[in-house]
Amino acid sequence: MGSLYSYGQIRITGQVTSGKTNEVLAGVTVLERDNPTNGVATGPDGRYTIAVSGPNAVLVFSFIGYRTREVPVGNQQTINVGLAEDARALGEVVVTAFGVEQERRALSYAVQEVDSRLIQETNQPNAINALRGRVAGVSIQSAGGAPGAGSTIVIRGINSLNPNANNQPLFVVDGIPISNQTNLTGGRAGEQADLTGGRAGDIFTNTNRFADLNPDDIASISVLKGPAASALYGLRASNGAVIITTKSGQAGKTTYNFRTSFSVDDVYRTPPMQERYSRGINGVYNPTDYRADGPPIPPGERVYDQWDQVFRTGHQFQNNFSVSGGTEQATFYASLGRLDQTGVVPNSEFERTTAKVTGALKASDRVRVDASANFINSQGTNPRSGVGGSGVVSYASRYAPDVDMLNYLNPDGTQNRYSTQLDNPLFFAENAYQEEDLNRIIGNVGLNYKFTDWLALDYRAGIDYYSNNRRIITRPTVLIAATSRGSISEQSLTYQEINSNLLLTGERQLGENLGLTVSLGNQVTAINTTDVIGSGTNFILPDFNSVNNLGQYTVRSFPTERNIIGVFGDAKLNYKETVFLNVTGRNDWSSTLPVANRSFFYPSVSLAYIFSETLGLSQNRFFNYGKIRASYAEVGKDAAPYLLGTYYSTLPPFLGVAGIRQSTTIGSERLRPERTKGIELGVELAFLGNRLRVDANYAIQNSVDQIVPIPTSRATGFITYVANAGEIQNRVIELVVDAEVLKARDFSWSSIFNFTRLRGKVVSMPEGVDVITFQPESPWVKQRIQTGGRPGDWYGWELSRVNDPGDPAHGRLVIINGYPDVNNNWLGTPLAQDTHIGNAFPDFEGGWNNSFTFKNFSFSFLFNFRKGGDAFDINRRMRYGSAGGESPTGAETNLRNRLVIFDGVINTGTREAPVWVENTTPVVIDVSSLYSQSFRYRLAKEFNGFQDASVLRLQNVSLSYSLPKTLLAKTPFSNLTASVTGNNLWMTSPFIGFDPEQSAYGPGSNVFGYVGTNIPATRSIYFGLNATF
Amino acid sequence: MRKLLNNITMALGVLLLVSCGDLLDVNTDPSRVSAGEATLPTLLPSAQRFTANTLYGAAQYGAQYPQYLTGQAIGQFTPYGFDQLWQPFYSDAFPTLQDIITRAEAVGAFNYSGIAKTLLALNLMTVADVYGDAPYSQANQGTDNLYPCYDKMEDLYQTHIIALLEEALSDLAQPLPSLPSLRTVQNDLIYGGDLAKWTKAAHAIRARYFLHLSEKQPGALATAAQEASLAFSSNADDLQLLHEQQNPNPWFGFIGNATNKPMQPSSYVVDLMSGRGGRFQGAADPRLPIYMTRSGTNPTYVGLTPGRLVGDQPTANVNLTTASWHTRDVAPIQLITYAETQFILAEALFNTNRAESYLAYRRGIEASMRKVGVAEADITAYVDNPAVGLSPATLTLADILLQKYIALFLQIETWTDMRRYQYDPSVYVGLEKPVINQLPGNPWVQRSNLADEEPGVNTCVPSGVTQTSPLWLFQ
Repeated sequence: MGSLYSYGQIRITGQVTSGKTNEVLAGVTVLERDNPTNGVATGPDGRYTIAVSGPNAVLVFSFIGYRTREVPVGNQQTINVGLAEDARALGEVVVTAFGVEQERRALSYAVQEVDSRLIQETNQPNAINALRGRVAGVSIQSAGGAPGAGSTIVIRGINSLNPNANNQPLFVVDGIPISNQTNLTGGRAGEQADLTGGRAGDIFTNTNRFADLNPDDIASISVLKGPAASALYGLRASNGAVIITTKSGQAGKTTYNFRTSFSVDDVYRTPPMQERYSRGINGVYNPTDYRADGPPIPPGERVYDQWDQVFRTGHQFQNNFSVSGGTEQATFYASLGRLDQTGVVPNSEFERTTAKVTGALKASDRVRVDASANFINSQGTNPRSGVGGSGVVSYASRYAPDVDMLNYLNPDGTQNRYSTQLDNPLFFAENAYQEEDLNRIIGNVGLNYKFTDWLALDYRAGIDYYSNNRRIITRPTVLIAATSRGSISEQSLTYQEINSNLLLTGERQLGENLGLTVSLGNQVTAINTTDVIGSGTNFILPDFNSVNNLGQYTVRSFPTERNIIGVFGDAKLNYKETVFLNVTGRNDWSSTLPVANRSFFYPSVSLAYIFSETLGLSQNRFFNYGKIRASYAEVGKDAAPYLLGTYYSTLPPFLGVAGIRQSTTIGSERLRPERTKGIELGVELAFLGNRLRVDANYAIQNSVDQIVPIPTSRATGFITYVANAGEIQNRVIELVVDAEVLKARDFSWSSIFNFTRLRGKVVSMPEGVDVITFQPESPWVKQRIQTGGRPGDWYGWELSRVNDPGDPAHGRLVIINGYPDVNNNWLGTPLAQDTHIGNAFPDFEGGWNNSFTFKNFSFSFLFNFRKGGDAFDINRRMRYGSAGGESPTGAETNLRNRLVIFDGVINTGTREAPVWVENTTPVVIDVSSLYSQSFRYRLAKEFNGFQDASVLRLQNVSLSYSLPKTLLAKTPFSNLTASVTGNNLWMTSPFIGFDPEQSAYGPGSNVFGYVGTNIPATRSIYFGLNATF
Repeated sequence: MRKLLNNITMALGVLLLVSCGDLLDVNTDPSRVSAGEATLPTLLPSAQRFTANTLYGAAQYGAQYPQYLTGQAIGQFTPYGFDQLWQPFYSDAFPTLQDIITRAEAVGAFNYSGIAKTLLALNLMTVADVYGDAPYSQANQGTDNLYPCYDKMEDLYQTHIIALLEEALSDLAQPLPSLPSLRTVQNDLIYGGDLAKWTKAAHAIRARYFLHLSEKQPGALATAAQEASLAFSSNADDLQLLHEQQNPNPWFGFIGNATNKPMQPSSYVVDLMSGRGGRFQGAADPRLPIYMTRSGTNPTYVGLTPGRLVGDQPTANVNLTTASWHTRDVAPIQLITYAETQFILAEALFNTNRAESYLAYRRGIEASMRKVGVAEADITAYVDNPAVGLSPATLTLADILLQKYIALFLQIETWTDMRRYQYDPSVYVGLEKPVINQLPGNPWVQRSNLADEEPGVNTCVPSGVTQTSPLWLFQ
């Protein structure tokens, strides 16, 4: 005893437990506050012993997932501490604008957060895909199963009249916006510059640039859905914002994590193909006709399945190593990730290497600095696909079943082509493709300075830079390059975005019941892009893949610059932690608008009221929490660069002379900022001690004064003029139900259900423009935007049916000359006058996730669903055209070359007074009759590939097993988990074809519902191992 | 620390206050130029290329109506709006030519404005002949008139085209501009700045104009003959745009070099040139193997029956290839030729001066043959063949129009000729309607439909347009 005191020390012992459950906590750091080198950790029993300098010492207890607690020693010798769980760890805190963490209860607008575990569990290399089916109000569509294929994320619907506009939200990583641009092949680089690109579809399913991020580095993703949530981010967040927080180090033991997974990917859903008829036309065998309308294939003759022949098994091999740790003063996180992927068609692969370092330093009680650097390199190759008929999948769908696709090379290496109309898909894949590589750096530094305990300054600057080199090779040996004798395009794109954010935050308690937080900020954004493209035709040597090998070529350069300065204020008033009022205002100055209009202000106001507090329900066992919220917000939006004024462009030289011409777009000197205005009403309820939580929203968003390139009569001398015009309204209902169904000692079951119902409406169109038609593929099925309609409205021909409800024949097909009539042509409706046949967007969609844990096992599955919404399967139209496929009526196999009597009625009366009698006229169903005499019938929506795209899908199933801690105690490992995961395992849909939910137009476009030409989505099964030590 | 903070705050302040303007004043596209930087010599070559594109675009699918080519369902399928003519004329050729005229008149460069008016008249006449009514006086005004109404074909002919042609001649006759840099026309891809040739070209276009107009004003026939005689004196004067390998003739990419040919020469032109068409009977035209390539073992040239789709008739054995004269990469796009002016002369003088008409007929054939490289001996043999050579007394309008038909292979002007004679089988001997035509009743096609893209973007389009109603000129 005496000796101890002689050193002036006190010996303290105690036990640390979880304040809520009273479980003992092992590994809790116990430090003497003023002597941080003096620290210990609690043992497996939660006990600790520490010698401190004296009674004035203060002990600091800290542990991941719990609130740090300080306890003055005084004259105690035993200090038992219960630590409170940190709200953040319980999902009670969400990250909102500028990385500000807010208590969920104080939020007055809709935000939904997705935890990293759910993201990593899916093993999706593109983290956006991991969000699919998990967030209400958010629709995610992949462009297909090609390695590196992009995905589209749309929050609360399409809000632009421009089919080529980018409707995607702003992506923010650790407080700094980064690019999620998709640079379409043939489009222009630069944010929003794709005013005309993409009409032909993205033939290489180019990636969305957020996919560069290593999903393993992500700690959480919050989706800010409406303008109220994203108002502070300014104009670039007018379509919502996706806020990503990446992993950072935690004080304590240095931990190492290694995660590996290997996948088996295959195409799990293919269209049926006919296997009865050989090459030829009208039943006559012709081995060089690509159409399969020859005679029946003789018995015993080999028949090939086109899909088995063109698709193979793909693989993903993902490895990720991370190390993190630190002290109370300094923490770090570093990771190295690697993805190697081979696709399901030949010549298709993707690889990505990522490296990330994050560090934070608490330089003093007042100063905290942090920095992060992320380097990404990716390389990929993909064969051509896309909306036109020239793609691997399109060719395969037209290949005759009596030809062996695998036998595609002659001994001299040339293509063994059975018809001059069609390339062999495998040969095509190897001779028409895109190679690309990308280097990207995302970095930021931040400084946080506390002036006082209520006033802090946060400054953060970040850069996102990438350079992307693309080479598109189309060798002269493939049909599409026969005329041009081969073509190559080499493109070098760079993107640089620099952001500077300054935020000054003051937080005061104004009296007992009133709290006020005010933030003032400044943001400067500078975006520079370059796009240099050298392209041409006429190969000099057959196998030299370089623009230097071209007889004719041009080089073009399209740089852009766009700068935005914003200042904003945000005031939060909190009354008794019960009523929360939030008012924001932001003013932006954008370089892309006319000087007179380039400064614009927009406000938001939102209110939340936790009525359960007033009613004193917080301890109620059944209904313990209730909040209502309401908000109104506006977000302004600028234009793309260089839309003001009218320019002249240079033409490539002709006979040695280069000319100049006036551009075909009229810029406007009078552009104003666009506005998105949103009203949102929400309710949040919790029952049974938070075990059942319901969050529901109703939101109306109007996008007005849209800056759109309006198609104009060419007789004006121009093709488009740019103006503020049109209004689109989206009304959305979002529902999230989150239940902890069971929680026992060894077993738990939690369930999250989300539901979205979205209705878009075109409120007004630009003056003089009745309709904007998107007609990329077939004149018989097109999308139209017109006043009173909805975005995604389909127009086309449908089979005519008797529409008099009083007639016994009501609803039956109208038959003329033996074939079904279309588009009420029998009533005199001109064929050119299309009718509304559907909408590309679903009636509702959602997802249902269930997670179970049993001892060391955990198991989860996610279903997602969409009801309604029609897709146009371009592939089916092609299959039909070449007689390869099978229609639902079996017209091309069961009925083929046979006489059929269509089940319908013929009119023996007049147009005005029809008299319907049973159709008895037999007609032959063969390729030529389907082409010519009855071409109308063939092009009716019921037969040309237009279908209901409702889907119920088992999106993800994951099973993992962690070795018990007791077994690991004697090993260096603290955790060892093995897992099996499946994505896209099962689906049911009335849709016949590949996956109905993969847009042929890909990200970077507003066009949805066209499907069937890209590399199909795959079913993937992953085997994974995760070790922490 | 405090000092560091001060520095950062100051730096931000500087950024905000001083460089705001610098940051924001960056909205000038570095990859394009302003109107002030465009000049007459840089606009002229663009306008000439656009004019060639317009004339090519009219013929690209339009060549099916005079039955030069066949094989595309679209030629007969309703409705067809000649987008390939509408688009390059209204968004390329017209604005660029009008731009030249405005700028040239402002600085007194009448050499440039004379050329531009000549070309604009040619373009506009082609548009009028295909569409009838078409936007002109309200067109090309940008946002000042977003919905240009259509001028009547009659007004286009009687007022606007003739005004351009009158001004073209008078501008070309004006003294050269005083500004030395404008005295010589630069970057003239067609005549290298030779204004005498441009004057001949203006007369040639006037000859075509008055020939068309004679349908309404018989007196114009004499003027047509007069203008034709003031026009070209040899093939060397032809108004045409040569192409080069680096920028091949569009026919080359569309058909000549295509692996899968979208169209093939029709049986009508093949039979006529093979000496079995009912006229020039037994006279094998030496231009036939130059115009097209025969394949397979059958030594007889067999064209595709009009209305049939490519591939539907295995006996057809002719194609336009990279070796065919019109679809070679370096082939010219012919706008108006010496041969045509001779046939105009022959037709215009047929009833008034048969001897001169006959001579012009022969000069037209010879010019056409020389142009595509027929040997002199073969030319003589052909024109001396009694079935072709005839005599002033035996010459008929059918002979003139059919030789013009052969000479103007793939030019849209022939469709105007055919409609002037309303597909008269006594002029176009042996001409039959296509075997398949999606237009009900298989009528002769009289005009283009409305341009496909016009309804929906222009509130002032004419109503009731069908492809079967004859245009004003042909009524």
